[in-house]
Amino acid sequence: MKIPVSWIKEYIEYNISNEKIAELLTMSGTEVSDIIKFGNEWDSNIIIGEIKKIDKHPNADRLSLVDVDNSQNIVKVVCGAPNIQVGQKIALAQPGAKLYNPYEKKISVLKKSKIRGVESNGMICSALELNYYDDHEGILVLDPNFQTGDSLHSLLSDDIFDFEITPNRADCLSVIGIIREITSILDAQKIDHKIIKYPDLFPMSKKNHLYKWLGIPETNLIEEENFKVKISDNDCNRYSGVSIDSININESPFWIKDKLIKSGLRPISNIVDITNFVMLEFGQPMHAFDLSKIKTNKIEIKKSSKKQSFLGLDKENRELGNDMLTITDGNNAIGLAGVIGGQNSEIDKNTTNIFLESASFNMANIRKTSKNLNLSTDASYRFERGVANQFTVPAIKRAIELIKKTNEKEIEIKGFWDVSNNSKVIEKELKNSKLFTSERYKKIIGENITLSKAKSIFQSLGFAISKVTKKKNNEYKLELTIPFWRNDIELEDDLIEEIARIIGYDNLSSTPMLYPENNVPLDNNIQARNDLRSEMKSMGYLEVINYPVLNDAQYNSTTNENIGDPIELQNPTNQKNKFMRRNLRAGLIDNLSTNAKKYSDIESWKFYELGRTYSSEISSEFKLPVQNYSLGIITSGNYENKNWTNDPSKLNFYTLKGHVERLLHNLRITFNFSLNEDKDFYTNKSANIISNNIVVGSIGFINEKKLIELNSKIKDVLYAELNLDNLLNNNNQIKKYQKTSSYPHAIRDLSLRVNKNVLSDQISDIIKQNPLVTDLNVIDVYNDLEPGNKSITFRITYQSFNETLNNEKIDESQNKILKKLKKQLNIELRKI
Amino acid sequence: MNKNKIYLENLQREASSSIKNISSKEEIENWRIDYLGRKGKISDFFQTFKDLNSKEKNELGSLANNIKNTLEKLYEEKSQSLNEQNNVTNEFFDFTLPSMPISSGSIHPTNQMMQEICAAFNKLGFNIFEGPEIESETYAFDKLNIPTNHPARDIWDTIYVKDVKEIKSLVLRPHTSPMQIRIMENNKPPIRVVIPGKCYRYEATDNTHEWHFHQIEGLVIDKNINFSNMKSTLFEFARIIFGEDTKARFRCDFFPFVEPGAEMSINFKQNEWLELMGAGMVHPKVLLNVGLDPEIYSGFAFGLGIERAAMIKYGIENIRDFYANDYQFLKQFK
Repeated sequence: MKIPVSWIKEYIEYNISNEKIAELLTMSGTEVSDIIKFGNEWDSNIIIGEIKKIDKHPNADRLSLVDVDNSQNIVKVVCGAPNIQVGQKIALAQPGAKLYNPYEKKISVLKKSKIRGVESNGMICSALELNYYDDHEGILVLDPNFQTGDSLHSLLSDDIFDFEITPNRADCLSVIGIIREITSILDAQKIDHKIIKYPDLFPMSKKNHLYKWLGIPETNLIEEENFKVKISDNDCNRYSGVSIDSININESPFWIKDKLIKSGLRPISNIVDITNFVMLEFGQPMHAFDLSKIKTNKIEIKKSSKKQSFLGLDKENRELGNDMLTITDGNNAIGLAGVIGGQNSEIDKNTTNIFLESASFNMANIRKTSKNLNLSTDASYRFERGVANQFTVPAIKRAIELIKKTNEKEIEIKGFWDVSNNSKVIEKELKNSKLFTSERYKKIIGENITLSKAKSIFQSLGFAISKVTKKKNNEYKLELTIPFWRNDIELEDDLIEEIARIIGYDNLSSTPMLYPENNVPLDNNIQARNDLRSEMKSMGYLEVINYPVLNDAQYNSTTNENIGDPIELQNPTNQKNKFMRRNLRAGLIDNLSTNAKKYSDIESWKFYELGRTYSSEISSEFKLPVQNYSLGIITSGNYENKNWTNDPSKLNFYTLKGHVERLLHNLRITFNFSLNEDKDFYTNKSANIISNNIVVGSIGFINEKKLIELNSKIKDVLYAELNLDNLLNNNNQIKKYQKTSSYPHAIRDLSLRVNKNVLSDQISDIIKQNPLVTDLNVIDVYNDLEPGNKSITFRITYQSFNETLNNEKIDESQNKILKKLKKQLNIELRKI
Repeated sequence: MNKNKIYLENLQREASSSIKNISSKEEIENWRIDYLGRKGKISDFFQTFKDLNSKEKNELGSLANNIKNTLEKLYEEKSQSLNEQNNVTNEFFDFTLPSMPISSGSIHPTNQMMQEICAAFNKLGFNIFEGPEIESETYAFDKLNIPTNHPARDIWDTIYVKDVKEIKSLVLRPHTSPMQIRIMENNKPPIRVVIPGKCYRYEATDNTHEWHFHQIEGLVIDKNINFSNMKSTLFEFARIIFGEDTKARFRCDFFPFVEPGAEMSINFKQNEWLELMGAGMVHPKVLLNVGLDPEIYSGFAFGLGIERAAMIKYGIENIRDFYANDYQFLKQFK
């Protein structure tokens, strides 16, 4: 919400900078997110001129030669605008002026120049050329009261506060709302200020009083008989209106347009501009109907019937839902309550008789309508946050005042309506009282507040103090009447905030708290995941974080079909990426291929992601989909980038297997590898990772078919994924200390001739059964031995806890091993 | 016998004098092989022993051993002195050549910042918790005093999730605050926890906004917790993360689940106030929603964006860099 400071200063005078006021407002909760220096660029060469004479340009039909009075001379200026008239006050840019060129979209310096053979001593500016407003139809016609020769800067430049009003403070969405805030802050800060005028907010509902207060003559109210206003739905709290005749529809006077433009609104016509002016000033949205277009002589507020289409003032046709509140002529909608008016009752240039609406509605209903139609207007924005019911009539008064002031003819008021089915709601707003206690303040804030200070802050904010109860120890209790515009004050703690924010949070004390005796216990898995990250980092992997959403192709390519339905987003930010991932594959493949494409010089790629995957299974803990953590690892190319110290070796299955084993050892998990039957995502060079008899992960080369499906150009890609929640919940094995032997160990290499289909684990399991074998490693594998066979060389460590082993003892063990291998796997010593 | 003794004495003299002229590692190695090697002169001499009687064996043996020891000592001394000489005088050595590429990986800046922030709060006595990202609307909004059709909901543009089996009204959590409720429902005060995690908003991405981001939520509940404690704790936290000289200020702000509500800004180097986190005293309605009596218990809650903290701390200008996962970006966070 934008408010020009000049408008604020029509109400209140103070002598501190706009920056300081903005800061004070921001600190107390009314955030000024920006101060726009409006017209700051206008230099002293742009002044007010008056058009004295208009001649035709001798050499061009469409141009005029204009005599402009600049208070010192009459200067001749060439002008092409269609709207120039003698007597207009205009902005004259004299040679040397810096101006925005809307065609070249840049600032340039104006020079004296000849246009079609005639010298022009400057330029009469359009609103766009001044960067004042986006109108370039003709020249900007200024206020007739402006003094010729004055600089435009001195008259029209302004600081504009751009407010970010929090959703609870509907009362701040207006000039007078901001004035109230400024007043109480300046009071509390003891900064001098003077109220120039108070907004007229007579809130009583007694009708005979009202007429007088409104200045409506009680004769000649003929419309009141003919025209009926009826509320047929409780979502309309109050509906006030006035019918006015003898209206001339015209452009607004400059001073009204100026305020609207600076507040970010578009001037339309005098009546529409006045409804907007009052909305900005009082926060009460209004709407003007052409009364002659309401043929039924009736306004009825009711919910729309099903399947009604409605043409709004924005020329959009919308289908209305049956719970939307509408303003109707009894049959058809002529307005969408609190949101937008209808084209069928729109003010046009021939309108003379209007009906001004000023109403209040149930905020939730307006919000629902606005959300369902995806239509947010200045009116709906205010109504959905809550406009007090008391504002309807004061807003009408203000509008009448402005119309009287600006209409060419004298206006005739033909009727006044103020309808409410539920006067209790309206009265309750006036009698809303709450208790404030010094004890509660101290409990919540941590320090005391004196009675006099509390009283003065509440009073400056418009709270009425109906009762003060003093208790012992300087404690006290205040009974307060909440100002009707403050729909956010519900509890005592809301009152506490009022005091605290006006004092200023920075002026409140700061006290360390004591450590609690006990506390909610720690989630161990978080530490384990951090350890995994450090481990991955030390092995050279870069951590990525991917969006956990996939498109159709990615999901289908990386997800096992029989895993259940995907979790799908209703309104993804990118319509294509609507499925929650079930594993980390697609993201990591994309990271690898995108980077490999970009950095062709890099030979070694290592990425990992430690993130959640989302399953359609429902967890028993929260009755929500299971959202477990997984660790995905992707690697390709060489083990390291080449440099002068090394001759880089290509990564293979066993490199990644080693990395995975290191992680699992660190997590103290017992595991083994088993045959992987998923030959869709992986090639046959792959395996499952098993712990506690469940599959906790997989590892292997990615099937090339998958890489192509996912548009990856890179080949020979190794991948592993571990389901961490399965793993971490099983890692309670405590490693037992293994006694070491003090006798020397002996090493023997054993080269075996083995059938190609035998796994090395099958052999080593047998070897390890021998009680003297304490360690074992594979030091050579030779595949081209003879058809169907391979050779594996094991290096076996023998050691005893009882004696030094001699050759005989070792030979004896080795023979036993060979016998077993022969018997169980038909394995023999390799003949060299 | 005499011949042998003389031979040995000559051998020692010859060796002792020749070693003096040695000036390279190669020469000293040759000298060693010549005299002390497996087929060197001392070894050769011992080879002749089998022809001697036992008395001669004893005498000459001990003499030869003495000489051997002496020569070994000479060898050690000479090679050590040569080594020392080499260390000081030897040829040009380029220590600037690139090292062996033992690539060091990285932890994503978001997670580094998260770990750092968690550690800071841990130091201040907070435990760390996590919670679901796919969350129910009830926990994401209603129990946090954000009713349906309330304009406060506009603070969170939410991404909704289609029903999963019989579970309805699911959202991708737009903030970590639902965990305030879950923790208070499942634990008795005193509570002092932080909850880091991913959040999502239905939002267009630009330099400072991401639809997918990380937050850390904090919650303190006990019998005597007040606004003053909140100020002190959050200020202390800011000093741990951004340095001892960090200044902090608090202004009034609105979040439906706290009252009074605040926002903390910090000022730590550029003499510029940067908004860091939202905070406030836990709203009495929220306490009532989880069955805690607001007359007895009070507390504060806060939430901050991890990326924002990381941007401030590391000087990252564009939030989109975080999840582009670009090699050059990631490898900086070693």
